[in-house]
Amino acid sequence: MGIFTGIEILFFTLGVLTTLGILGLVHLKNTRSAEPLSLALAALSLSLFLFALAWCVSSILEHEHQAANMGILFFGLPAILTGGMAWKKLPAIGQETN
Amino acid sequence: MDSGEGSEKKVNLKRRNFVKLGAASAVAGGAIMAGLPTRSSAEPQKSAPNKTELPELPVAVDESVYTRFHQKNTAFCQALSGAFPQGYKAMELMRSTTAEPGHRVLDRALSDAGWCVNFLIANGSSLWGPNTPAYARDNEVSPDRYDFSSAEEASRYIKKAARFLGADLVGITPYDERWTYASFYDAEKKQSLPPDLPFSPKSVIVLAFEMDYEAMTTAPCAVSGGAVGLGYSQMAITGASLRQFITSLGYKAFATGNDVALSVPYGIAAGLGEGARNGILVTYEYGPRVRLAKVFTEMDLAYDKPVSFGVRHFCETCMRCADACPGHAISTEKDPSFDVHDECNNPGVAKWAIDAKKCLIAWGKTKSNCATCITSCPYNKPDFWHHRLVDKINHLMPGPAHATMREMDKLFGYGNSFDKKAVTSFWKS
Repeated sequence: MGIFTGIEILFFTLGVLTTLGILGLVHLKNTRSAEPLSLALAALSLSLFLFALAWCVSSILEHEHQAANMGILFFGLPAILTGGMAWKKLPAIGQETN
Repeated sequence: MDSGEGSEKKVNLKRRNFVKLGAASAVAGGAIMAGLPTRSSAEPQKSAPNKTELPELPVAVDESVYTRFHQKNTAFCQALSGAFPQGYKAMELMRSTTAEPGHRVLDRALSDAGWCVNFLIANGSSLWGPNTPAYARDNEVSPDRYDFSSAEEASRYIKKAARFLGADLVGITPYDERWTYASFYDAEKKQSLPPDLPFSPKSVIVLAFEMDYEAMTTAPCAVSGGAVGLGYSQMAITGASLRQFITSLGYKAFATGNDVALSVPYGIAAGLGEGARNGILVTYEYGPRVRLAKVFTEMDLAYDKPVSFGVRHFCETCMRCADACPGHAISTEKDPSFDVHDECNNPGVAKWAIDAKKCLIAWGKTKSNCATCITSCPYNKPDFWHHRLVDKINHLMPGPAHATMREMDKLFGYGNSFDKKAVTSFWKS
């Protein structure tokens, strides 16, 4: 890994996580018949989570640890909240929506 | 039970979706990567949507009042001349050591190491203007002149050479006599000298050198002093080297540090950044965390335009530097004005005038080159993508929102000064 800088590894990882996240959203739509509002909240949660991760790792790379912690608080917490809201709006497993 | 055909159709659909997702991710990733900071100093400085070129110098100059500044009126020369004894005392205190982190012999040794090359080839150039090897004014010019096809081509080659030789930012502006000292000052002989230049310059190449971010977070102490010293050393190396490049091309040139002319107006005119409340140049790439050198030449070059990316507007509300300044030397007035404190400011230029004498006294109190106004500035950030993003958002926001941005900056832990942990953290990293 020595040939890559921290920021390069971060953005590669973010690329992988973005793809997996989008696949997850498609999976929710197909298997759980998620409604548009639920999907929108899940997408918002995913975006906030990725942004929190990117901010946090970038701040650690620049040796600004308080900024990393605040990044988790400011962007990570809303990611969890919106993720929770999206989860609550999902229909139960096996339940079909009209 | 599904037929084989049906199963194949389902699989193909998934594949197609996967390809679509892959393409979307690649586009999104590409867009993000395009905004990533460049790490190579060999590349030109960035253009950005929030960085606009201006037709003229964005500073009001009242020509009926403005007179060229005498070098002996800088706070340093005032201190060295005996006219400002408190300043001289402060300069003596700057080198004292204690057991406190940041002021130990260890930290002082780092400071000495940073200044070392400057002392060897440009000694005293940070305070006044001796004829040092790096900043010699009479230089031998090669008789074998290289002719460029145009001023644009010449500028391109000069800028590439400057970056190769160690400059982080390069801008070119026409020579403007207003910024040349009205008289030079020899602090050893304690006398003013006529502002004689070896030739009539046509162009000024302004070079900016980044100071280490982590070292500057320790300000005010000897570790940040080391970063400042290293900046001066780099100024001398690159300034002298670029001067040699130009004289070897067959054109007259000489390099300068803080001598000969005011650096900040040239930095603004050459499009390197904006003048800020703290009295120094704030660049787009490194904020105020730069040192400036200048190379004067007779070459005809293509000139850069001044730029704006919202610094002056942000400074109206922010005032973090004014709050952090241990000498209370920075103005807290909302708008720039023509008011001055004493002979250390040149009148006739709309700005937030620094009380330079209070500033130098604070250097003595902090036993360092201080630099809290650099460290505390919200534009003082490493060149990372998230700071560029915040800059862009900040530029779009109205004035009152800047106060919130300032508080957020503090909340996120940026811009602390007098932070003892920063010294320990610097040495551990």
